[in-house]
Amino acid sequence: MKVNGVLVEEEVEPRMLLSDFLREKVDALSVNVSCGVGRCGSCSVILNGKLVKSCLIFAAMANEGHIVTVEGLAKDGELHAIQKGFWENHALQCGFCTSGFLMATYSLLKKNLTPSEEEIREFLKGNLCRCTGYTNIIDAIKYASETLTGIPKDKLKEAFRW
Amino acid sequence: MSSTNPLLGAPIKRKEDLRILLGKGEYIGNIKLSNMHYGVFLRSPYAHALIKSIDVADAKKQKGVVDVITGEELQKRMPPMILEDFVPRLWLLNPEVKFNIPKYYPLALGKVRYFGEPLALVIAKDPYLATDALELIQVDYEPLPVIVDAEEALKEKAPKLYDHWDSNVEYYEKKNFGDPDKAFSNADYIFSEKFYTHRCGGSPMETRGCISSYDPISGLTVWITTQRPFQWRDAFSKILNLPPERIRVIAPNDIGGSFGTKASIYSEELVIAYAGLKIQKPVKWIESRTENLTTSTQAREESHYLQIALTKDGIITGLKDKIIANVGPGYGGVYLGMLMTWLGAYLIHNAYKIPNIGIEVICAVTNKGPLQPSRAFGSMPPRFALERLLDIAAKEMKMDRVELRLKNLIDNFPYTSPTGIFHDAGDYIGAFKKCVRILDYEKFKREQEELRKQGRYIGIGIVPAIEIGGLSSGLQVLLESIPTYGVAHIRIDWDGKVTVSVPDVSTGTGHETILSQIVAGEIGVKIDEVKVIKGDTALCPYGQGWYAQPARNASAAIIAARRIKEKLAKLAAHLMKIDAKMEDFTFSDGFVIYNKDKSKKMSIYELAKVAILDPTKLPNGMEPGLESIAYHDLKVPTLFSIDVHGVIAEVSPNTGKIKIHRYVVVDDSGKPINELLLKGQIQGGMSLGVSNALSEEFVYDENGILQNPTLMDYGFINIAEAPKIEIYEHHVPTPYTATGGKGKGEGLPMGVPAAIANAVEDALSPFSVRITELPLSPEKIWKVIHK
Repeated sequence: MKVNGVLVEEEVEPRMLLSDFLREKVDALSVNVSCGVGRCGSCSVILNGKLVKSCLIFAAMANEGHIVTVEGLAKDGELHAIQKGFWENHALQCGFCTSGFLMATYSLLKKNLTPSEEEIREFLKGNLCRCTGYTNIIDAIKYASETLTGIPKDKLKEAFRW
Repeated sequence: MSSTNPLLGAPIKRKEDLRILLGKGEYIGNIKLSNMHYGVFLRSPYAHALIKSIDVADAKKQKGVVDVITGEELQKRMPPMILEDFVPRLWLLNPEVKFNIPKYYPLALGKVRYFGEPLALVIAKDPYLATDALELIQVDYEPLPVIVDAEEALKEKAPKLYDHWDSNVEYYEKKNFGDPDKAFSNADYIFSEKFYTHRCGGSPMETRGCISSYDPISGLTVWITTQRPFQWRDAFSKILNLPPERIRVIAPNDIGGSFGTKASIYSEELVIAYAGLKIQKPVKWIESRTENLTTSTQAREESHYLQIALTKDGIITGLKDKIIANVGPGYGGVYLGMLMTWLGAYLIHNAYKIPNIGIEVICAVTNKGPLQPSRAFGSMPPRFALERLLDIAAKEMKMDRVELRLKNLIDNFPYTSPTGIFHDAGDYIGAFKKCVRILDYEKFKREQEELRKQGRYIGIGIVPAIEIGGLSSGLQVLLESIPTYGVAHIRIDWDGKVTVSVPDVSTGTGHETILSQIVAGEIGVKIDEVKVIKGDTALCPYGQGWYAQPARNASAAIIAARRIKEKLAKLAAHLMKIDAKMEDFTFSDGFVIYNKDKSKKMSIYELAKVAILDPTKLPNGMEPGLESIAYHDLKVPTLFSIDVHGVIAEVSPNTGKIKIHRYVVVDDSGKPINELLLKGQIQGGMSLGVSNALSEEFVYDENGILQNPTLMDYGFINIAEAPKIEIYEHHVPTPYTATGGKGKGEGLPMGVPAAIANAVEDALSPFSVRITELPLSPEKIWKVIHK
């Protein structure tokens, strides 16, 4: 499979979870496991263009797939607008859920660059946060949406290159 | 001692965010050591059973398994818990208390008393293989009768959890402050009701974890997701019989939330530390979410039989509260599960002047899970009870709820309550009135009438809640031999860069930012030029971690920074050949500038280079180096601050569902250190309170089995449900800290269920309902309406 564009070749047991695979074999330590049952979204990654919860998938099921994690968001040392949005708006405290929120936001904004607050709330329901009360996360997503709306098309394409 | 620190209070964004946003958070799960082994616990499927035998022979033979540890082995290697030092000596405050103290081992021996109690640890080279081996351990249980209800546990014929106890009462205290009996016999009005707060808590997104690594040369190193590294070090020392300097406890730089739950001295970490010591290979354990919900995040379950006595003018003259707490097995957590209830009882008066108080505290053991500290440490149930009863009283007395509260709020500071609680400074009445004004209470009442005509039911609840924001060493040394001073060590290197080390840890609380911020502000350098080292017993000065007085180390850091400034000023004056003191200089933009002649200035870098690398240029008698350490202890017993919660909520009588239209908080934190982070704390704290109040409850069946041990069925509030929290400031700086600030964050959720419940009952007043139980789930509300 490819992870953030880099080819990864490993032999794994059939029962190894994708979340464990990414953490242990690929060192993609942004992938945090919190609930283990697909509810909290902390382990969310993008697999072949779709937002998935990596604790619910076996690594073998992602064979030959392309996975994007938070490690793939920033480019050439510059934070992605979504990451900036979270930073500027104090949208993380303990940060354990943050990777999942970043990936879910990426997935949302790729489909809908200017979501309403209601659309944000609806789309992010699969991600739980315990520290922030969510208000600043909503502001962060709006900030990212506004930043990205204002940039040239080629840059926008670059921002959503995965 | 006030401060003119230019960065104090500034809403500066966090330093620690960058690594987390890049996916490089330094959480315990991300620590990898070579030859790492993995521990998995076998846990009891019964809530109460005798263990006839445990056979681990097959498990030990399983592929990849290195060892299996049971209680029988631990019994030979360590003293039984709970060590005397961990028991709060409450009998020193009241000699008449009755205290039954359980004896247990970190792995159950002979008997299990709750569902999920650990019995054995399997250590293997791979966590999957360790989990496989669990299946091969054979345990012969003899199930015993189960008690899940505290009041059932108190009945004479109830089965006992501890054979040698005379009852299931772990802790009993009855005490009068003033003369409550007289107050009640002279009262114009008496109101009484039973209120129940459910089992819920502060489960964080990151579960607990521990890594233990031992080598005979350097000793034992243990990484723990803990708020209190030094407490763990000392606990290991006593239990594993190693000198403290042979033990290094490290709280990882990033801890994925705690809310109090990572303050306890738990069983699992003891076993993992022991395992690392024994096999002399690193052992890692990451708590599963089910383990987390079953054993380490339950809190708050209490019934209050509350009575208040009032004059006809609405002055509260007396209060009596009988509290029955369900503390689970009374071990496996913090303070035997009872101290939260005890403190809550002493704080029952909340923000009111109540001259006569009688409390009766009964902590009953049951076969539910152990209790842990959880944001608001014992104060959620008493706030719910008293604030509910005040609303009930106002209605019966035909007095306005706001007016009743205003008549009784503490209005003169400092104030010591009859139970001995010291309130340092504040403006409770001003904060309360501000909340009333923001919600436009009078206008709301008119709207409420209008909407009722349309068949819509909205209500309002406005309640104050006091939060402990500082605790002096006096009480904690007396009760637990734990000093509560803050401490900070500061070092400036020869390049002018600053390192601050504190025994604090950060659980998402931004310590790196706030400590950098205030130290940078004092010394006049950039925030990025200050580095913070925390949570490591080998690198940080001895002190308390992160609980009860969150701002303690901030005050110490300011004092330590000022000591360094004094030295810098002396050195600068010497090198500039002028006669000047610290006050004659400004510390700004990396320079020490002479106020009377601004052309005379030297950079911190130049001064540091002299102080550290060129001692020949130092004035006579000055030692080289730029280091200082400072301690800060409160000169008063406690600091308290207030939050006033104002809720407007709508209830659907058909579904029982509650919709929060507005959630207003008027907050006093003394003087904030960082307003951005403070507001973040308030939003999050209130949201956790809303989640506790509306959608969380640990549900046990009659066999003591937890019915909802996953996040699929234990309901954290989600982004679609969470209300927006409107925050207004009403800060009254305290004279007792170096920042003027008070600790904030811990207590925030406490007033939430009370405020929402009062709004709900107000909304439903045409139905004449009385809300006395939490959670405020649609089912419960529907049943109250359609009783």
